[in-house]
Amino acid sequence: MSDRLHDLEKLLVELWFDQAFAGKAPDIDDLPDYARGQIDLRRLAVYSNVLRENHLQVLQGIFPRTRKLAGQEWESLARAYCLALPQLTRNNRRPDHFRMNNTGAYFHAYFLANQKALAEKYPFMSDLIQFEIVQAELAESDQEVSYSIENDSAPTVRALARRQPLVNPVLRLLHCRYDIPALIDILDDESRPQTAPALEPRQVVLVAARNPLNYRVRVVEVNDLTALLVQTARDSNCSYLDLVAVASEHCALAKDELTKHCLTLFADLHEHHVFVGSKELIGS
Amino acid sequence: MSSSFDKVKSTLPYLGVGLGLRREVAAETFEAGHVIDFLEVIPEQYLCKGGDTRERLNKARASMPLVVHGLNLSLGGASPLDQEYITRLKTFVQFTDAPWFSDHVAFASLGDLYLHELLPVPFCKETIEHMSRRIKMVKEQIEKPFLIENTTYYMSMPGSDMTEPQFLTELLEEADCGLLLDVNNVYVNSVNHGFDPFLFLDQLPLERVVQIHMAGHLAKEDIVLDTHGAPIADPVFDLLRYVLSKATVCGITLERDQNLPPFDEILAELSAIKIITAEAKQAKTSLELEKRP
Ligand SMILES: [Fe+2]
Repeated sequence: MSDRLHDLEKLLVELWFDQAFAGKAPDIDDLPDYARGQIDLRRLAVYSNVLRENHLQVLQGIFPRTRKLAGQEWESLARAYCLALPQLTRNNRRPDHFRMNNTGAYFHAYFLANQKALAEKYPFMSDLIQFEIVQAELAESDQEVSYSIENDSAPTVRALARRQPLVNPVLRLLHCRYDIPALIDILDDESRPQTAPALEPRQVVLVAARNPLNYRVRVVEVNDLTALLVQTARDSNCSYLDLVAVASEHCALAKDELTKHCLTLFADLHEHHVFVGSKELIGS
Repeated sequence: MSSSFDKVKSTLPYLGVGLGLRREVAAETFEAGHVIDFLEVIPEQYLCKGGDTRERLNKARASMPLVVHGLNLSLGGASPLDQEYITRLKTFVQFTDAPWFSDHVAFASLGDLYLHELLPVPFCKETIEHMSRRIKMVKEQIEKPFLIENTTYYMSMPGSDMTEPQFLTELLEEADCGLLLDVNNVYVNSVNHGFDPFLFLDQLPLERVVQIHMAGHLAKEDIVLDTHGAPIADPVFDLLRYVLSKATVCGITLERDQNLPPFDEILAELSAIKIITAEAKQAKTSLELEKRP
């Protein structure tokens, strides 16, 4: 049974996807013997329509701004991606494939590899796609976050050496070639003309972190040094003072000035929930 | 009923009339907790998710009894059962403390491709063997009473050589599980495939029905679609009355997924279902009293 059922389900999914996303209705003569005469082609189209609607709805839910940006071209982009989905999921096994967001998980890679013309027309679209999937994934992440308020506003150097910042695990650093938050402001402005937004390239580094108290994902732009410190804090068990030392390698400020600057930065990172607490380092 | 399922059913609690929990109306749902008897939650909306979503589940669990209604066991699928999903589903069912859980007579994935739709299976002996084997595996692993739901099918599948009631009856017997009877699906199928829905119900083992689904549909020119996006139609209420006159069930759920109306309209539908439930109970009591010497 399994073999026959497998062949039938595979065939139908192919026919449904072809009709739904490539607009290609099946030719009776192309059907295998066991299906010929038994498949109601008119009713086949009902499922094609339902599958198309459901898939497009899921994608629109994950990429609302990409959809706005693509405008009239959205449907053909989304359709082409859905048509490629069976192959993409086959090549990238994910153990949690039943998650809705996984339908959008391959969109960025697909866009880069297959949508050269659109990427040329909207050079910021690739960054936007990545931004939107990261936002969706952070919003739903099941990472536990233990959060504590940092109340030592003027720590001593000893305290800085003894304590380690805890980086929010529900956080992503995004390196973009365009100012995506500015693009989103433009796209969200309902009064803007319906033409492609003009945006000059500008390298930006964004930190997207989920607030552990209200679960909202907040995105802030940071400079390269801050990005480096966040990355360092995330990848190693270093103290606040170690971070100051890393900063000193990239910054010409005098020692006292630099420490003061770093303390302000650490306070900001706590306020934006990039850091979600501190830990006493053992043996320090 | 000559199955072990009658024993199982006799241990299940009566939950009343409940609602499928949807994110968009979660706040209103919790506020109306005093008139909603229980909630049906869809595991796919919560598995591997934290944040707001997890918070909503915790709140639901704290406010009323829950039942679990899955989408992706893909019992009719030819691809192997997804072990990762089943493991997570088991934890989920335990967490919710649901007295039973359910999924559909359908396939929902092809390998790792999630299809976002419940797709039909051929009604034949081979499918029964295939699906009952999988249902038994699921039952064994999750260790809670399990129900399968009759689904809509817009095209009959090649290889079908049985009627739907024959198929469902044999499948339920072979797998020895309960039925989640979606009355709207019966109606939708009856229009699309031209059969008498009352006769259809007569042919089902109604003693296996644990839960009922009520929902709305969309009647198009040449087909009726099961959208869960409209008020429940009158003929569907008639079918509910008919089922309740013949069977005892543990819960009835309203499913509303699209085109969400003001919440008062959802509450009004729940109360209409409650009235029908009360009338059916009353009628049964009077009948029993009449029978007494
Ligand atoms: Fe249903």
